[in-house]
Amino acid sequence: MNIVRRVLPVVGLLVLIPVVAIAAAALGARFSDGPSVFFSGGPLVAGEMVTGAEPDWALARDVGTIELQLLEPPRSRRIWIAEHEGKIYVVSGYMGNTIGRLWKHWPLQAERDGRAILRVGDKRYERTLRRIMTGPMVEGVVAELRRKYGFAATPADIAAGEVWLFELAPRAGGTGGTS
Amino acid sequence: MKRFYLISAVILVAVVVVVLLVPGVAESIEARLLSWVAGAAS
Repeated sequence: MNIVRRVLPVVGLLVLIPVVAIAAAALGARFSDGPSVFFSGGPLVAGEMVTGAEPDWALARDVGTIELQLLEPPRSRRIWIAEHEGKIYVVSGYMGNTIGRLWKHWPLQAERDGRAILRVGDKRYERTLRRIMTGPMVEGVVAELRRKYGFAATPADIAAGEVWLFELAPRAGGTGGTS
Repeated sequence: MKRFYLISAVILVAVVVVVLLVPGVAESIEARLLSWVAGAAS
């Protein structure tokens, strides 16, 4: 019993060291310009802010992930992107269950305030996230997600709220949210 | 026992400082985490 009392705190410390190290790494990422591969990051600062005419989003077809930052809260993450008929979309799976909603906060935050900044390469774009559940574009976006990433969602999943689909629309007036 | 908790606290604070301030440590942790997650997922 005495040996257990001596060993247990040491084991606890050995467990705590990697936990604290991971938490510190996640905390440090919050203050960096953009996300890392695993942790979400801080506001997107570097890069030219593109204004004016809408760019040709065909460039997104060959891009693996983009950096997306919401204005509120000002945190960024890496995310898949799909282009369809000149418009761009992002997607979040696992939204139909409690674990998914606990894990992924940004879709709910984007629904409240859709103002966002997108960074592709060294260029930044002001956008508004607009959630889409149905519509003629859904089939095409789902097909593009399947082609690029092997993502197996269906339009029915999006309509049912299992998967949340957002259009990254041009920023108009500075407020966003659901459509 | 009080001494043990004091040493533990110092070690944990040192871990935080090293991860936040020493270049490359956070990236190394992330790489290990990624390989662990990838291994668990496959």
